Amino acid sequence: MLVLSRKVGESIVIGDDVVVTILEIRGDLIRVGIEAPKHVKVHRREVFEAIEAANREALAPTLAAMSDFTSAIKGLPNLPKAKDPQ
Amino acid sequence: MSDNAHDDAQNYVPVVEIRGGLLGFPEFTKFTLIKMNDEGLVYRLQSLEEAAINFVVVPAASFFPNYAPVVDDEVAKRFDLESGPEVLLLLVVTLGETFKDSTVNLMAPLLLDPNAQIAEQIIVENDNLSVRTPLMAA
Repeated sequence: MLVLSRKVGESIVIGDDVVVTILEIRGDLIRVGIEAPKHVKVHRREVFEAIEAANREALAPTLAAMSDFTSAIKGLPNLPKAKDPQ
Repeated sequence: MSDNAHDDAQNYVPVVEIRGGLLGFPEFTKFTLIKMNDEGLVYRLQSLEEAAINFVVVPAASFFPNYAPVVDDEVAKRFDLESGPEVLLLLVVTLGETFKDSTVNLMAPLLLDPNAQIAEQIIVENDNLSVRTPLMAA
């Protein structure tokens, strides 16, 4: 891992078009500004990891579980009907 | 809406491209959306590249009518949200032992444009949303 020391107001350039700037340091909280092209997704790591974990958990339900789920939905009273993507 | 989607070729969505894949599964981007119940309340999203890769999704509007995640400008532009009211918001379901244990991911819904047949799992930066919200909290 590359380790760099920066002061408030100083930046790091990553590649041609990503700039990370240290905006403020208050105790153990550091505010970081990130300028990146629109197609570069920037998210907090824990958010990203939580979603990946949730997707892994949601993956590949058994046919039996899917059919139970669908039956249970059917038994629910008066759910608003969805707009049909098909 | 027709039970036989082929009857309505204009609205039929055989294949959906999930841009970038679902998070954690970037290698799978081509899916079919299979309707699991007549009312359109449950769908199965199955990978065309690997049949074992499949997810259950439900339309957010049916279960969480007040759910209105803020999406960033770039996503709004990509899906033309200003003028494209036909874009759907789908939630990935984690099936529980029982129906009551089933949860949905409100932090990372799927936006689906049925006309363009393109979807994307977006991240909603909102600490009040959970990746495991009980479906029956609805």
